[in-house]
Amino acid sequence: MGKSRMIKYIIGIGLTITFAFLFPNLTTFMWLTIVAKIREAIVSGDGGQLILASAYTTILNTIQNALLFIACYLISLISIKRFKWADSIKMMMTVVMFIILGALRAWWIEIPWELLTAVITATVIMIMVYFTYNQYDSIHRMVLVSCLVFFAFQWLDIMPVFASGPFGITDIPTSILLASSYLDSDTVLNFVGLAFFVPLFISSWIMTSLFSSHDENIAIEKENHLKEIALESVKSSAIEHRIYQEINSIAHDLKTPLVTIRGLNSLLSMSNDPEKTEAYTQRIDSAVEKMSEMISGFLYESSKQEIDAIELINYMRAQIPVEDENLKISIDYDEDLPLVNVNKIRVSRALLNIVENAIGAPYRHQLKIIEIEVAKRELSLAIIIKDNGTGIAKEDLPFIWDPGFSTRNTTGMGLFFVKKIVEDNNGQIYIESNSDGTSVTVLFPGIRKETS
Amino acid sequence: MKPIRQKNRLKPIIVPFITGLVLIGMGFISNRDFNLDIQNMPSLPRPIAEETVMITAAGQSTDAYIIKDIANQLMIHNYFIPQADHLDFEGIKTLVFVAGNSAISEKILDFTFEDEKERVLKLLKLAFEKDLKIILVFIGGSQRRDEETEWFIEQIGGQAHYIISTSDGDRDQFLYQMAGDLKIPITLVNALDDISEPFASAFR
Repeated sequence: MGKSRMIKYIIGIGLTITFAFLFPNLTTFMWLTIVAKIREAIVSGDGGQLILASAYTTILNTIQNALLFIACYLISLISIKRFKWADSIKMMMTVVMFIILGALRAWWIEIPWELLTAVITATVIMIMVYFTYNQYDSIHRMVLVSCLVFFAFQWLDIMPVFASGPFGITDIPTSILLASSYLDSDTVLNFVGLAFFVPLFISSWIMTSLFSSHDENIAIEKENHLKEIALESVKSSAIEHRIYQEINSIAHDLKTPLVTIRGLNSLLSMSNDPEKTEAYTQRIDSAVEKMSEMISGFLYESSKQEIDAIELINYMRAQIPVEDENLKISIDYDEDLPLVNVNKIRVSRALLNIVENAIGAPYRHQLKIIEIEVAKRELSLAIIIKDNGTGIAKEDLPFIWDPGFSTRNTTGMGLFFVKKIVEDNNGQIYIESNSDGTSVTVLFPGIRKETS
Repeated sequence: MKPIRQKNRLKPIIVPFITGLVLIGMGFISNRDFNLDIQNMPSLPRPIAEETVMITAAGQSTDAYIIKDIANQLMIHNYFIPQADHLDFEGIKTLVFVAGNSAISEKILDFTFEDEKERVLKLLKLAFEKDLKIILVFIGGSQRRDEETEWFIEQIGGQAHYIISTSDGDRDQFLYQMAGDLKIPITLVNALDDISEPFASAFR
């Protein structure tokens, strides 16, 4: 606990204890009023004066008890903080200190104290706090709860039903009860006492329960917030990983033209034939062009080219791993397919990702069949990739585009990237799936071929 | 972050329910009649005192006002002077002490228990000198039987000609035994409402 906070606590304790001890002396005129009301009630036979006297008595007793109780609570708060004792120990200490200080005050100011009422009230407060909300350190809550509960229990002292019992045994409550008995106002006083005690007591329980619910909600929100941060971190890592995967793939693809260039370069150095040199040089130039296209396509997302659908599919087809003998991939082209204006490298990577998902999907049959249909749909180019796998569960379908969602223990970033790439290239993508297989349809706006 | 205690949803209901049951039980217990199995004089067979009466408080509790009101209802001529320290009033034949100490009243009226003791002793002495009849009334019940009130009861009871008390105020039979030892007639009533008859019987 910081030094300034400790000083505030000490000042608070000093003030509350001082007021608690001086309170009866500071409110002498109120006690005089109460006695006068009791006398007036007896003389005039007016039970209403007795009820007023009861109300004043409960209010005064509530204030002086609550002040003392809060002082004891503050003492327990600062003295035990450094020892980190359990809340239950702090609570017992508060009650014990309250009893000691209350008895001390009664002895010092020579005014009797309703010991049992006060102790029962203090214990009930601590039980409430212990069983409901978690924050024993919350001062304003303790002040509210203790004022409510003390005010509730003080009414028991003036109820004739407890006249011969443990409540209302000191001077003023005894006078009130005797006057009530003399005036035949027992029923009224019992009713008034109950009318205050019950709602106040219930309110205090509701208040502590509300505090508890509030604490739980705050804790849940904090937990959710931490989870969200963790999830964002995971997503970022997954995206980063995916990007590295793409870079690796591009780097791998770049090796092919590089090998071509190297080979041709060797031939060039050995050749004296100008025609062959010319041919080799052109092929080297073609390979360099291909590499440049691949790098630009990767570096510049918005870079697009008008491309024939067959060329696009062939480019994608060349990258499909075909080691699996149980895998059959067929491609069917429609006639008169439109051109599309897309980033060839990225779109082919996206289509390849869909095919790879189809290859890796769970299958019921021994033979995996993947059918790629390239068709014209009105003015658009439609690329439909179908497999005969077990399909995607209906409840998972709405989430398949979400980053991080996966049913096969992968990063779950594939389809997220695919959708992003398709949409960046003005396309649309949707999935249909059932137990017979999954069909992914990608649409790109077509460009009418110029016929010369 | 502090671990959240598993909240038992029954506890917010159980604890106030149990508290309510305990309080109701206390109410039943506390309202038992404490009738003492003793020979009890319901009232005096013949009057032992005369009007005019001086009613004073021994301890300054508000109980004296109840006795004053009863006296008025019974049309018994009386002077009601809670803090009387002399008996120089015309026609006083009887002195009624209503015993019951009030610490609050002492604080408010700015006097001490020692002051009150002195006053009561002075009145007892004056009453003896003037040959006044003394009646001790104690209606405060067991709640009023603190050390100070006991002193008043003992001092006044020892010189009283008649003692009226509620049975709840004499659970330990102190008054009854004192009356028996000193041969003083005593009436113990069960309820405050029953005070009127024995009080009236002292005069009529």
